[in-house]
Amino acid sequence: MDAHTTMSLTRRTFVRTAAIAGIGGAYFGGAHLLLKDERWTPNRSFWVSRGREPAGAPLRGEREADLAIIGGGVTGLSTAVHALLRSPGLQVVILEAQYVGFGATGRSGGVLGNGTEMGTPPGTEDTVPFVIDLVDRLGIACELERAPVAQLDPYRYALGLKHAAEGLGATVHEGCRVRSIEDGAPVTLRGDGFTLRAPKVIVATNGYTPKLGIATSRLFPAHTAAAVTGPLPREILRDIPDSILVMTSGEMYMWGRKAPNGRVLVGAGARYFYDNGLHYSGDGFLFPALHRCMAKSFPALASYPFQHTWTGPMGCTADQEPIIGIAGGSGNIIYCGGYCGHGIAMGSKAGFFLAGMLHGEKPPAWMLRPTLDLPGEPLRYIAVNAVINLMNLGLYRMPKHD
Amino acid sequence: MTDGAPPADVRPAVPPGARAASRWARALGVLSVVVFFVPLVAPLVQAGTLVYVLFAAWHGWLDRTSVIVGAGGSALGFVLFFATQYIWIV
Repeated sequence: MDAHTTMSLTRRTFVRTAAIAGIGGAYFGGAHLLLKDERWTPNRSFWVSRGREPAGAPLRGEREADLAIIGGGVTGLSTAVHALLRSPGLQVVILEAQYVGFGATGRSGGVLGNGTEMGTPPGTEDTVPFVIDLVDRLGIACELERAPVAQLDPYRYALGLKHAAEGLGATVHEGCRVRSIEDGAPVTLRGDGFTLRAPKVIVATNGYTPKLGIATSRLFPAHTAAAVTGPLPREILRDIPDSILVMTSGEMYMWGRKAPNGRVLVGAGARYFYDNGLHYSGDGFLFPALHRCMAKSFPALASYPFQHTWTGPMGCTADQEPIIGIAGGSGNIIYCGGYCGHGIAMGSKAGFFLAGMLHGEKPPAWMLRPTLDLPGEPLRYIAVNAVINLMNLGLYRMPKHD
Repeated sequence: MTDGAPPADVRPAVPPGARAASRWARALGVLSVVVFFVPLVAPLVQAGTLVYVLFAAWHGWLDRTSVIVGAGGSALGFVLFFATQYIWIV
């Protein structure tokens, strides 16, 4: 009887444990798959939280332009500025789904670095001086620090580029999402309540690009997290480096900087969500994990909580270097992205390359290289996240080329 | 030998297929740990392993070691998966 009871209880416990484990596994293994982008409530970066400029009016009705640019981030705005500097009088229209600086531009740390994630391929050796020169020439007020580490307020940098583009004759429409891109000559862009036709289109939406049906097998969004502490005592700040870049197992890499008003800003991580999902705004585990990363590297910061946190997708490619590609049968849709977290400086320079392409110039050959075609879902979700996890665990490092 | 009592070293008969079931349970337990870093696949393998071990153990096909390796591997794999996704890394 005792033996029977013991066996019965063991089985029951076993079944109960299995049921709990199964439900837990299903939730944590696949819960994110069920989320829809429509349910996404985007958060605001620290830079935007310091004061957001009113967005420009959305486009309504039908319009034609010489050049249409989709995306009001650093790439699109830099392209507009450089195109107009070379061709004054060009009719340039920029369409931004949310507001200028909403995407990876305004969510970045604002730290400038030459080169790309993987090295310093031709044309990227001078991206930092390029940005500093642009800021000086256009008179952009973006709290640029030149030394010891070049860094700026990325949101205000984007606003400065927007105002410069508008000053040169561009029209920036915010809050108008492009729903379809119809190939042809001209290309037709349609959204809620507007149609825009242009003979040339630049798609400068980086991680959001696959959702437009462009570069779906080449670009993917990887969500990263960032946070900023409150103002810190001087004696704590003294021991924190001006620019933080920590590569350890346990985090893919942690980057950071000293932010205005004696704060420390850190960011880390990369997560890919099913079907190029954009819905992620963090979960209960994310920011405690980021705080642990920060405290592990800088124990003096362990007792200082984050005051503001945010997330956002950065555009990535399989080989972690940016690309320029041509889409559409007529070859008049050009896309660019995949900076893998190096977009402020590299995106500014990419805008210069894109503007040159409008005049028949060629960008650096490596940016036009073929890249590994990412598989469709669910293999993409599995493969991309497996590689990210291996890199996070320090079990795999992608070889850099210099 | 002639009084009808069974010989002392006779063990209960192993059910048909029990050896194969034990091998499967152990292999799945190990696989559950090996694939811990692969999202989507890991929880499916781990849940599948647990269900298989439960089913096979219920029918008496598994020895104690196979149950421990199968169910333990499934649980350990899930803990590693969970930690990788949510605790260790950002």
